[in-house]
Amino acid sequence: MDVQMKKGLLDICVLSVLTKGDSYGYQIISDVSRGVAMSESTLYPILKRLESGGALTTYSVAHNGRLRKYYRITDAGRVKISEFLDGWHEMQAIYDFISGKEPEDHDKI
Amino acid sequence: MTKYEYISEVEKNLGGIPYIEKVKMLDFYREMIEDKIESGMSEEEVIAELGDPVLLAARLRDEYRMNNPEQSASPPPNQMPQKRSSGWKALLVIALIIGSPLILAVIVAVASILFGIAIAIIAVGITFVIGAAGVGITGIVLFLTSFLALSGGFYTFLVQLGLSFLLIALCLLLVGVGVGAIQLLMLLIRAVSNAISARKRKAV
Repeated sequence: MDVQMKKGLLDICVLSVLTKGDSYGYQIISDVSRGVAMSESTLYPILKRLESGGALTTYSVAHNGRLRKYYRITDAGRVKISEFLDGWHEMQAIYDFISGKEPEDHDKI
Repeated sequence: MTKYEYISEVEKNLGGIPYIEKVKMLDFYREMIEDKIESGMSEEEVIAELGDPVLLAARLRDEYRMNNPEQSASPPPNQMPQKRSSGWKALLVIALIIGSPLILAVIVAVASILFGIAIAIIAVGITFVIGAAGVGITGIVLFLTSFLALSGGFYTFLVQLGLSFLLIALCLLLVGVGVGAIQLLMLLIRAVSNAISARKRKAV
């Protein structure tokens, strides 16, 4: 898959994982990897981008004598997810156009 | 290679990335390594999975350059004034923290001085009023009894009458001073309250 496209999709995947509750790096990788393959070197820039874009906030929690960074989705992050879901039909139409398939029109019999 | 050696190897190869960003990156990988070990993997397995530290550092540098095209050449220019302003703010906060007991002490000192002056004026006023009452009563008694002193001779009567007038006059004088003291006190209170309300108005 195109790198840029996958990047954008992975952003949404990470945000989607965070809608189920605050999480930390390793846990996010484990959760996302159930759907899409993702390595830690991919996750780091995604988290950084989402944080600087205001889609998530971070805080640290003491764990086993060290600090663990937790990520929490913001309202802006939730908006990003719903925008992606709303835009999916457009994506489907583009896919249909590219693949040369007749667009599925449910109004037609 | 231990996890510490791995991290320091990555760190060595992160040249060109600002310090704060470098710390964040390394913290992320340190946490990841610890969490993987905690979840049951061995240290060697985790290190092997992360791959060559030099390659990882190169990937991180590339990512950083891609996400910060304007900042990769030179340190971010917008960080300097931001730092300075936050520094000034910190300085102000420190000054306020250090200075606040001093300000409080000065306010308490001024308030206690004003309070002392007020008490002194009240005391003087009360003293004068009581003194005036005493002198006045004595004067009136002397005046009333001066007619009885007629039996002791006309001159005795005259001296007592004169003395009684003198005492009554002194009483009136003392009352005047007492009233003056109270008026002075009122003036002082008014001045202080005016000063406070003026300060408040300025603050608003």
